[in-house]
Amino acid sequence: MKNRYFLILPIFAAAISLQSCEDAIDLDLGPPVSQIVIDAVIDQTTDSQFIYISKTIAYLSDQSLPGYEIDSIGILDTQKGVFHRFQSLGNGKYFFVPPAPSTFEYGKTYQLLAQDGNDIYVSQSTLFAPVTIDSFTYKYEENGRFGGSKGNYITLWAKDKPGKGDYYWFRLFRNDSLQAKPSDIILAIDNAFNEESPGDGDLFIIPIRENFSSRPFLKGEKARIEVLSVPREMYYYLSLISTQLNNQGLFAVPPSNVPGNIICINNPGKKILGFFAMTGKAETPELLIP
Amino acid sequence: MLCWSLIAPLTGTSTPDQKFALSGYVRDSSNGEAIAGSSISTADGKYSSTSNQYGFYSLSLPEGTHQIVCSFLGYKSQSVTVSIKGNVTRNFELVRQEEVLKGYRVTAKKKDNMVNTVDMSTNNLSISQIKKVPALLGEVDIVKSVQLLPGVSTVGEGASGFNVRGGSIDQNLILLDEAPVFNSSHLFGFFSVFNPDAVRDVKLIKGGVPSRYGGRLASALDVRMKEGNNKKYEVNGGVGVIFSRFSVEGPIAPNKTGLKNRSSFIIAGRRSYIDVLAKPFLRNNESLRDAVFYFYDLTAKVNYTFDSKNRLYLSAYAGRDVFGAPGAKFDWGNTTTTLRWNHLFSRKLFANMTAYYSNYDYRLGFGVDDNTFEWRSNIINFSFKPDLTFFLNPQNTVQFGLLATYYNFKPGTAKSKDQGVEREFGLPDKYAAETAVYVENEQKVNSKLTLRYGIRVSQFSYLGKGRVYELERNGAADRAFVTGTKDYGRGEVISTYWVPEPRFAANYKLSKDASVKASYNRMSQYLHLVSNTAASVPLDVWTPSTNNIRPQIGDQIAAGYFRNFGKNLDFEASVEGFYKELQNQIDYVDGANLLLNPLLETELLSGKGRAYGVELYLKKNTGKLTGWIAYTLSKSERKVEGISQGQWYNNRFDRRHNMNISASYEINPKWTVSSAFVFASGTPTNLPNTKYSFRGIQGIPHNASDLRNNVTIKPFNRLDISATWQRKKTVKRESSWVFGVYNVYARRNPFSYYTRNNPDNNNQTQLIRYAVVGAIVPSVSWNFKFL
Repeated sequence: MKNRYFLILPIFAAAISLQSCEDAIDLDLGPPVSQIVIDAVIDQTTDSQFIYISKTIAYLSDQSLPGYEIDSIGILDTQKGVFHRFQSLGNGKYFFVPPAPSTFEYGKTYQLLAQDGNDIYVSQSTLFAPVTIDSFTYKYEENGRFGGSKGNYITLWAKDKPGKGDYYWFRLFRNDSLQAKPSDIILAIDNAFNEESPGDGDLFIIPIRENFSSRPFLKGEKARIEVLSVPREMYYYLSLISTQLNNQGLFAVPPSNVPGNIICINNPGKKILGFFAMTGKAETPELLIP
Repeated sequence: MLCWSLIAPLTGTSTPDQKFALSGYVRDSSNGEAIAGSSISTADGKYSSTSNQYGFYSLSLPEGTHQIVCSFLGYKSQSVTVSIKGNVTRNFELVRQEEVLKGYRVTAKKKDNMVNTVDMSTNNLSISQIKKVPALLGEVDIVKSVQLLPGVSTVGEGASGFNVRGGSIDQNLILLDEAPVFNSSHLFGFFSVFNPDAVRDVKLIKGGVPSRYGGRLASALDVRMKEGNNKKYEVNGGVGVIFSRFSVEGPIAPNKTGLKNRSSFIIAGRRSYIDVLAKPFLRNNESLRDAVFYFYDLTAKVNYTFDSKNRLYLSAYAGRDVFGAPGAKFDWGNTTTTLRWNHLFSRKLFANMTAYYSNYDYRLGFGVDDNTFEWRSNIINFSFKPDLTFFLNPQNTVQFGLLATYYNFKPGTAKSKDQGVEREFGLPDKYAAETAVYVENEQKVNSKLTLRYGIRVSQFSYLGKGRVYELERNGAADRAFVTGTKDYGRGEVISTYWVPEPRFAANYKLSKDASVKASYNRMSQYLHLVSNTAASVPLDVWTPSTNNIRPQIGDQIAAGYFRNFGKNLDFEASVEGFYKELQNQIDYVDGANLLLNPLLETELLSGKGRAYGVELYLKKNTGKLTGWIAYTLSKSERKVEGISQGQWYNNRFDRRHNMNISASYEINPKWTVSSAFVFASGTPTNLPNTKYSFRGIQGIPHNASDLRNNVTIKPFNRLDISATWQRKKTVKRESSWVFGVYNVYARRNPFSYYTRNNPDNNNQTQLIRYAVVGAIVPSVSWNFKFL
């Protein structure tokens, strides 16, 4: 993402800041009005698909987010007139197993529909095809990569889909665990970070394909990457989240809310947080570092 | 062109009421530097004039014998008898007070300008005053001194630039010998680009802005470089903790024909060596071990006097900051060149023609060998700017002139190499032309009332070649989308704006030591610094007004009471109130992408602004104790449709209370102690009050109140002290040691608050208070002067 270039600034700011310091403090941030969050990211595979519904909590609270149960939620295929209803697993977790690989089709637009008492929540999203992954490799780097220490680093060899305006979200799993620290949010527009980048259809550029982890992989560790082709709106949603979570120091930008794409049609004043997106998922095989 | 046609009739010398012109230059006796703002008057005060930036004055007098007094603060007044039968040239060379004190006591009263002049909301700082203010790491700094003046604040330590009366940093017109400086900071914002050894004086104008200044809403900071000692060679310098300075000045080849002091020069340079000093400490830090970070600047000026009517000045500045780490490089800097020609069309018509070139650029590079990325951005402008002063009669002084500027914006050109394959891309250049004409008269209506009224008409054209976007938005504060494009050819006018800018100021003297003043001015601004970070970064892009970005317009009214008091009138006090309304203020959509974005305009919003406040100022100019106290009570707000529920909200530069005390006490000729104390209310900031998760990403902050700048940061306060030890002076040599302590009580002043996930536990969220300087910073530096 664009912010990767900004990483240089904190380094220099750190170098020059005359004994700058950060202290964790407590402050009255105003009443924490609780709001509903819907997390619905669906892919085209026949894997189990999950939707999570929760409520926001006070920013400085150490509690975990409470799940929130509603009457029903699912994906509406308007062309086929089919509603794929998700089953509740309790505590706001809902699942659905697509019966066939053709359940969700590329290029088609699907609707999210949810009923919560008298309120109806809706959204829509178009499914884009996934990329083709050529290979997934590792290499021992004596000098480290991107400021990391020496060790094994992974490289994803895949090309952007032909045609301008493809958006991607890369998710790294280390030993089956999703890497989800703020610095782990890796996004791309075509093969780079910018709508005007000239490398449409080419290999993802180095700051993407080689930059999945600043910490090298140890012997015996496993790595896997998911590449999600996401709608443009989803890219900006994630990009905004990334900006909010990596926003520190002398050059921080004013924090802003991350607007989602789900609305309450009978009460537009009711704000629903979260996002609904159909995504085309490509996955690397699991790589074991020997 | 209108102004040129005005010149012809004005160049005539005789006036019907049989008055003659007494004219000449006022200079410093020790080095020949021009003295701007000195008062030249008859002993009875009936006829008076003021010297301009180049030291020139002209006074119309009736035939007869007159006692003429020339005076300026810090100098001994001179009184001469002049017999006027025709036009007379009389130059003054004033002797500095400190020189005078060596021999005998001065009893002449200091004449202070602030009560007499029509200028208001204006602060003059001489370099000797600036040098008395304790500074970070002992380095005298012009912008840091300006930040201590009433109505001036900063978003925090280390932030570049300064904020005037609630304005943003790009709303200050910063001029170095008439040429605009786009980034006034070294090391982000810790030091300013002006080398104090090369600066003569600094003037900050916050209100009642004269017509000759334009192009920015909030203020003009007019920095004048020294001309260079035209009597003898002089070497100045200093060795400090973070950088060293060195300057040489002197006369150039005294003329064989007997005309002395025709030409002089000054050349001054600085270079930091913090990287060299820091190296041993960074040996064990992998990411910083091979880091380079330094800055340098070079200032040079030369002038040549052809005859009593013509003088030429050439000045240049080049400065650069360089940062680098293995595989990464980042550097930026300004270059300015100014050529000026002072010409006397007649004893009453003084002209200064300026042509300047200014270039600000930054470069950003990553990668090694076959895989590199380099980005470069510039803003280049060429200007021609004649300014004329017509000393019509003792009651009226007319100033007029024009400004024509051509801009070339290069938002970014990039080169990348991937596996050895080179590519060039980037954002297209933008072009614009700005012109302005102005005329203004300063009129002494009677012995009590002085008026200054004028108008500046500015015009701005956004020019091709370029692609123009038509934009629409769904919600008022949503990111815009493109509904159409149109391509323009080279030089084609895409959009044009005209802004008439009336200017008015009045001074009514209540007594010889007190006056009331009022002013109104309208300002326009066609260039905008696109930045939404807490502190501006060198990567911030300047953009012209376009078909989608309208020029900023500001109206300000101010009124004040000015008074001098005390024995010898050594105290100067003022109370001023101001109210400003601003149009077309730039704001940003949530999560705006401002870097390298070809559709930058889609990220910008436009709103209204207003600011109002009261400023109190008490200054002591002479005696063993000198310094000032400045207190400002103010409010600065914005209103943007779709933001903060469409209500007025406090903007990022709002500081309710701001008090600065700067004092210096001369214990004896050897020791002087100085201190500066700063207290300021915290600035408003946006903070979330709730959080949520999304697909495993935790701690996403959310502000449920939907109000902008919902939390105010805790106040800022800091005390700095310094002691100067003046070594024994000889005719040939002077030196002094400056010992300083910055942030005496080691306060961790919050620069900002921000939220983050705990780096050691991603499930936990934290609110962080970030202090840029969190400890005592001691310093020692050595300054020298060889003659």
